[in-house]
Formats: sequence, structure tokens, C-alpha cells
Amino acid sequence: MSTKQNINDPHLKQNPFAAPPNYFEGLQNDVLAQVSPAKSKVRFLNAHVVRYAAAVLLVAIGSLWLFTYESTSQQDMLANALAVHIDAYDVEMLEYYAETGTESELADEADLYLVNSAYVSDDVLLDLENE
Amino acid sequence: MKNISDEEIIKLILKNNRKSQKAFAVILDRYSERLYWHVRKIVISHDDADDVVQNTFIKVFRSLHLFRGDSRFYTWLYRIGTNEALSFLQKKKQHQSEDIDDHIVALAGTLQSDEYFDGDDIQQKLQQAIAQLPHKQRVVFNMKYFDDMKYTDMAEILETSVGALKASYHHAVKKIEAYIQNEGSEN
Repeated sequence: MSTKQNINDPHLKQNPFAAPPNYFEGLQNDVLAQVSPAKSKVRFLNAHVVRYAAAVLLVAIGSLWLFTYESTSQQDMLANALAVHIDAYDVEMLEYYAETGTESELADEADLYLVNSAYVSDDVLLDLENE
Repeated sequence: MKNISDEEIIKLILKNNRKSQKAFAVILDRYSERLYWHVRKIVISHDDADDVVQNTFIKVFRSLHLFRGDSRFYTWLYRIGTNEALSFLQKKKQHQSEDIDDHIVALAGTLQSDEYFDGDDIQQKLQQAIAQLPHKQRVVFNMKYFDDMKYTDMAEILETSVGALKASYHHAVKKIEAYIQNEGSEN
């Protein structure tokens, strides 16, 4: 024979569940760590820094490219002008040699070096001293 | 901050300065334990209750600016916690392709071996009886039976009329008494 269980028994109304030791302190710390503004603030700051850095980098790259492009253009123009000038000179000299039947006195590279470096041989210096 | 009202603490939190964290810690200190036991009775398992309570407080913190003060803070918190717990069970049902109520019945059947269940045989039998109830009726029963919550507060939390809650609790008590009676006569 069974006895009727009274569900208004105070013992039954007690909480039968348990939690791990120190669980609630840990729970509060876990929640606070997840809502910490420090995390989101750092992320916010980083996003701005990255954006500004990217913008500055972009402007710097653009400026450098423009500067290099302009410099290269100027150098190219100068080089082209010189080349044209030298070519013109060469043509003139060739025409002169053809007309006069003479050859350039600067026959080879060794002669050209002597002229450019203002080289004077010992024999010449000796002659000059004797004069 | 111990004597400050919830509403004053919320204002401090919403100022979003260095004191906000401390102010929210007071809210956690006041309600984390109570909310945990409320959620635990709905989801049964400690690990699930832990997940639900953490998610609830994070949601509360992030949506505090939406709290208009029409209801008391604690009923707003309990409403979010209850909805989170029921949504959690709903998601579990989708993953495990079983009914929410079947899932709870199965969990209640394993309470004897649960590390974090201190109840004796009759308390375990009561939990199995409660697990037989439809999940919304189960929430009503737990709030009234274990926490002795006022019907007016329950009406705010569950957004139902006091009359409907009284009827729901009455039906739940009858079902539980019948379950325990049947189990007693079988054993």
C-alpha cells in the first residue's frame, strides 16, 4: 500500500540542484571579462590607426610615384637632348673630315685619355725647360 | 553601491566610463545566483545553465540602452533569461532531432548520476514529474513552487495574464500529483 505524497512538503520545495564550488565568483568574472570595454576599445583604436596608416601609406606611395615619374621624365628628356646634340656634332665632324680629307687627331681611346687628363710626357717637360 | 536602486545602477552603466564595469559587477552580484537557479531548473544541466546565464548577462549589458523602465529591471532580466533558456532548448532540439520535452524527460532521468544534483529519491521523482509538463507550464510551476514568486511578477516576466498563470499552475500541480501517485503505486 502506498502513502500519498504531499507536494506541499517543505522538504520537496528545497532546491535540489547544486553548483561547483566558487562557481558564482567565476561566473561573475567570466561575464565581466566578456563585456570589458578595454577589448572593444582597443579594437576600435586599432581600426582607426590601421585606417589612418593605410591612408598615409597610400598618399605616400602616390606622391613617390608621381615624383619618380616626373624625375624620370626630366632625366629622359635631358638624355635625349644630349644624344641628339652629340649625334649632330658627330655628323658635322664627319662632313668636315669628308670635305677636308683629314682624319681626327684623336685616333683612339689612348689619345683621348691623354687629352682629357692633361697628360704631359717627361720629354715634353724637358724640352720646355731647355727652351 | 549596495543601497543604490537597480535603475540608478543602470544609469551609471550607461555613462560608459570607468565606473560602468563596477556598476555592472553590482548587478551581477545581485542577480547572477538567482538567475542561475531559475535557468538551471529549466535546462537541468549545469553546463547548459552556465552557457545560458552568461549569454543572458552579455545580452543584457549590450541592450541596456533599450531598457525603458516600463517594467522593473529584475523582471526584464528574468524575461531575457527565460527566453534564452527556452531558445537554448529549441536549438538543442534542432540539433538532436527530438522534442524539447522529450529531451528534458531524458535529462531528468539521469539526475541520480548528476554530479551537481543533491536531491534524494523523492526530490528526483518530483523533478521527473516536472519534466513531464509542457515546457511553458514547467517554467510557471518552477517559478511559483520553488521561488514562490508573485503572480504579478510572473505576469510581467512571461507577458501573460495573472488568470492564465493561475490556471496553468493549478493544472501543473494536478499533473504532478497524479504522476507521483502513479509512480508510488507502481513501485
